[in-house]
Amino acid sequence: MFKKQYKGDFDSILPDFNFVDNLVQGFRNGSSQNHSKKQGRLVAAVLAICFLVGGGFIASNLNKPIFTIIAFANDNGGECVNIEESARVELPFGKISRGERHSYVDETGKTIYNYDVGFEYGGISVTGDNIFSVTYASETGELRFFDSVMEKQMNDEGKIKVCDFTLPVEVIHPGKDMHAVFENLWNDGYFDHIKNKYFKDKNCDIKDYQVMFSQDEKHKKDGLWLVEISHKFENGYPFMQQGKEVTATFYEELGAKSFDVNWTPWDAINMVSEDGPIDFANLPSENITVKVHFKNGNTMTKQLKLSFNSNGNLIAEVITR
Amino acid sequence: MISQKPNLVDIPIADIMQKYSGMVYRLAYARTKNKADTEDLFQEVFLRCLKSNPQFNSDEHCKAWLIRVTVNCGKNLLTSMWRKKVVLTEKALEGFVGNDKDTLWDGKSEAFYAVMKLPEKYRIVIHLHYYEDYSVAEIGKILNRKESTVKTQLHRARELLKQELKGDYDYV
Repeated sequence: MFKKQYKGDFDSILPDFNFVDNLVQGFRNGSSQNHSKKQGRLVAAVLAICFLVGGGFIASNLNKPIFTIIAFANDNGGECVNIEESARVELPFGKISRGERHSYVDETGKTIYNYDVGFEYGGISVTGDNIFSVTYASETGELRFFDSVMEKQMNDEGKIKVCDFTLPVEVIHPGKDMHAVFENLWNDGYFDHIKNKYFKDKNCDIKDYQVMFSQDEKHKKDGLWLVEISHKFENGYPFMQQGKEVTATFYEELGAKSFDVNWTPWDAINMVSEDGPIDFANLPSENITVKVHFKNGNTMTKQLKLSFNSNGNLIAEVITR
Repeated sequence: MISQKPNLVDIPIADIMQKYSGMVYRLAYARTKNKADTEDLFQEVFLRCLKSNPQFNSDEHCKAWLIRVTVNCGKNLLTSMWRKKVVLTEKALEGFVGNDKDTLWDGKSEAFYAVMKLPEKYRIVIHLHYYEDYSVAEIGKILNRKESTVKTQLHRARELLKQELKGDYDYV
């Protein structure tokens, strides 16, 4: 009886459609909404910085390409800073900071302390004439690149979502067997009208697709699921790159925005969160190799060194190779 | 289907979210007892999955990994560049009973309310045992705890539930 009641209660606890949808979009876009609801807990003010590589390039002199790295806030109108070669420049963004101290008791009963961390996140971008693509390689941090043009194109061509439709909740009750029930119904012909409408020339094996159930407030009120059937991407979305190295290709319609890449210093963030005194100047520095491929086949590589000073501000230096 | 390691079930995060979003959300809710923190934890779990891209050799392996992260992350640090970085203390979590409930509590049975009054460590074993149908041995293996520890926690949780629930409940 207890088990039945408990199970019944938790069967109806499911993530909201809008929440999951925003989260998935955030993952696709390489960003995510801040879902923190409680004041007083929100400590890490996460701001944006973006680095722009470009400017100063003379189109007629492709054999001697020159470009300048600049840093700017990703907030439409923020301050921009040129990072000249061989100079140390304090960026107006990218500051790392410590927040409140917290504690918890671990499995052994020991009290562990650590800190909230604030970090003004950022990215790298390249601009300039006749640039075909840019490859960024990080030594200690993490880079993320979202190809919005490819994502839109794939969406337009139906290569991501196949279809969505509503389904009465009484057909598939909330619970952990929902996908198995859906698969059985699919194979038994219950969804033949969906197959006929959206899967005419497609593989109809539902195991080769991903099926997502969700509800917004209206769906809940109406007792409906929104069922979304999408293609599977075994190796992640092709329009999203994440890791130590990413490559961005130029799109005419995006211009300089073609090359926007986000950067996060996870090691530094983790070190600041740990208990004990901290000297920001001793945090690990980062070397990002920026390799620009020009349309005429030439390449040019610069090294962007990022480090923190004792106040937690981000310091940048550019070294030409 | 493309797989670099044919003997592995290489599950992308979209597929994992499809299969386990409900499971992770419910376990997160059993831990945090409120929607806002559940969503934060849910986001963090799948973000970690996206970042670390673990290779799973079975669905059960994947599920166990998600459970472990859901139970443990937040105890350490919710290290996300997009959100707060904060540790939720037991005291803070317990404070939500009775004064910061959300609409997900509406219409729930007395069993639900009784479980929500338990300390977090008991709520987790209760949830894994009674909702996810894991045995004591399986819970121990998933959470990397001694079987005897899980057994004791489950026993103490039942004792507390018996005190809270006056009716004749069967806890098999």
